[in-house]
Amino acid sequence: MKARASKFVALLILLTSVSLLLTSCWSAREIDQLAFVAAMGIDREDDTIKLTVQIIVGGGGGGGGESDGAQAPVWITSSTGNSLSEAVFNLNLVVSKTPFWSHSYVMIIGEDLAREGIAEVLEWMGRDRQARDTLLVAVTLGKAEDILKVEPKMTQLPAEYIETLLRLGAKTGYIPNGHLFRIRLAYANQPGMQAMMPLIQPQPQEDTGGSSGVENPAAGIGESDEGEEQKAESIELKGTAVFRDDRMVGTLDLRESRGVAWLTGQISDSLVTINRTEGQITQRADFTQVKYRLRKIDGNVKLEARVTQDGVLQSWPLRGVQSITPTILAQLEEDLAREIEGEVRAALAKLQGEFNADIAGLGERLRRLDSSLYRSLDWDKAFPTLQLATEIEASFRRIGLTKE
Amino acid sequence: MPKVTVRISSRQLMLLKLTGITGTIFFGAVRLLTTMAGAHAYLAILGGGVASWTVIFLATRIAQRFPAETPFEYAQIIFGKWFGKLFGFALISFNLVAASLILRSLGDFLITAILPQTPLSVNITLMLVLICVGTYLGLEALARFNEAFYPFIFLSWVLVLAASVPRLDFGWFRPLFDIGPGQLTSATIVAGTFLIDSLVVLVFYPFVTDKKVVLKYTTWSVVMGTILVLLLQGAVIGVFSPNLANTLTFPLLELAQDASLGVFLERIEALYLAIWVVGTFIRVAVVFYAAVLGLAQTLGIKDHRIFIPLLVVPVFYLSFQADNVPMSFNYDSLFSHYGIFIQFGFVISLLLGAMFRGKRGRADSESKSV
Repeated sequence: MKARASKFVALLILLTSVSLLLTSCWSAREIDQLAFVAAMGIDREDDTIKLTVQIIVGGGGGGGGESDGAQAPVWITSSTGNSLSEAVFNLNLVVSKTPFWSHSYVMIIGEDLAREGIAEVLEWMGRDRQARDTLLVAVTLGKAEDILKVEPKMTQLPAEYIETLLRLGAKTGYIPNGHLFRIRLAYANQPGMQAMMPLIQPQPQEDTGGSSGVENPAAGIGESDEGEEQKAESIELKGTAVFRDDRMVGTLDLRESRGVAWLTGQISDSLVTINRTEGQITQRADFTQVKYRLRKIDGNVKLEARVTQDGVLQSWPLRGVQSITPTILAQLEEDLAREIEGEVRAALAKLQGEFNADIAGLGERLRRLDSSLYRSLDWDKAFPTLQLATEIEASFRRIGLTKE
Repeated sequence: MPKVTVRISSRQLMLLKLTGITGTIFFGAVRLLTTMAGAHAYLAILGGGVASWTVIFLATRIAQRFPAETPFEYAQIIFGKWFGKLFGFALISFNLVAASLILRSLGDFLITAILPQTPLSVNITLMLVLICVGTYLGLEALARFNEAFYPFIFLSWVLVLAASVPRLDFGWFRPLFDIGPGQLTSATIVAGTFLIDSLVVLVFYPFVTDKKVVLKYTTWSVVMGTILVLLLQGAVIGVFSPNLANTLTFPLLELAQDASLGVFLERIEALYLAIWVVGTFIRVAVVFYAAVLGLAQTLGIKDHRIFIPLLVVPVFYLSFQADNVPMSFNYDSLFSHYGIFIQFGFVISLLLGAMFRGKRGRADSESKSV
């Protein structure tokens, strides 16, 4: 009887403790109390930081906007503060749920803030490790807020549209890999490796009279001639935002950006065009590899980049040439190598001549090959005068389904 | 209280040691080694592996001279009753400090990375309750539980490693040898402390049934532990670069956070964390059990379990000595710098004392009663 009573007491204690422990800990976050932030935009506004967020609305309708009476899939709202931490904290002055950053797709930084310095942003992202390292970060010409207000036609979530655009764009080399991790990595390893970010810009709707290549991003976006608000419905990739330390010091266009991408070996799907008198030949490049070594040239030790690339012959409009022979392909490969060399040189001219920012990580490459030589140099002073030797090996691996 | 015959196998001893090495690596070892040796931490780990094996070899030698007694008992044979008791108390104190530091490190880890709003005292108290239960159940229960659970700890590390392979950049290790001798020695000592856990062999040897293969199994535990720590440290450096890794509080947690298996299994660190926290529980329970058993044997009392409530108090108290997380890291670092020397001191003084005084224990009785 006594044994049964003690068993009953033990069972009671066990059940009580289990039911108490199952209520979870202090740090529990109930899903209905979270505001899932899909995208965030950070701008400098006068003396304050403005944080704009796209919060996913549960059970939202499609369409990307509020047209057709459907509920918008995201709610765009913003907060301001003297610092980013304060702006994040102040978000709860307008949002009634706890912002949850782990599912964020993209973070957009406004040009003004980027030029002023993003150390605080990187510090916040590193210390408060809710956002994943795979979060994509980009700089926009103009205000980040405008990017977040873009209403794309193709996807429900605007953030998903931006993320896909940045992810696919990075494969072409026209914009760099914008993963937060890559930026943190470069920031930690400067000056031998400086940070770079994709550069984007909202593209005004066709009927507003804007064009894809607007020089002044502020013009043509936001308001039409009549003063009515016109929301952009697409975003255009513009190239690379070049950083020195934590400050944006300039931009590279698409061609120059790809010049850097050849040097970092990050092209996996791009189109290279060779202009010949007979016509234009294009190669769909799907493989790039770069190896660095030190070579003694004219008695001096030089860093040499050996870029190997490969791809498919995409178009062949050569008049008068009927068959694709190995001899002709060899000539085309030489032309291709020259084109790539031109892109690399254009990028280096700007990086060394204008920005003094080693975003291709050439200093880090040198450190790996000869650490004592690298240590003996003040890389900030040495980089502008670095003479990089290049050897480009371009080839057509396949010629498609027609041989003539 | 009837006598309980405790039997564990050499394999269980090896797994207890492995849990001691790899079960708690996620909150201290990699951070400290990265700070001290950067890309060259692998050299320190290799050196630490050799140093720790040397101490474990010596610990096995002294344990073999006293196959039926624990160091708390044979210290009194070697050094005499009172000095022996003093030695026992030193050993107990070491275990209590080690237990409180591991416990605090786990608490810091939880409140920093996982449960920011849960008070530290709640984390530590709950863990201590579990540890008391584990200690009450005894070594055999802990060893069996660990034997069943260790595959999960091992698998978690293998998955973290496998998922980090595509992100590795071996260039971060270059140049391969570019570290000063002083810096390397210092890092090797710390790595040795993480890999040693020699007291497990020293204290639990008499409970092992197949004593002839203890050295073989403990050697395996050091080799496997060293390889696993080496690979994990390598993954941290290869993925994050020495400079970025140096800024991270818990590099292995970040490695696990970003380690996705395909696109369908992402952010599975919660799963890993559950496993690692259980690993930490086993480690602290084993260290605490050694202290409780030691106090009972030093004082000549048969049932060690009555000392559980008594020794919980200093562990709880000591784990709250650091005012904040950086101070706790400093204590951890301090302990790691001297841990291997202290353990070496215990082992070598016992061995030399026994050799000079020609002391030997009674014959092995295959298992030990407590």
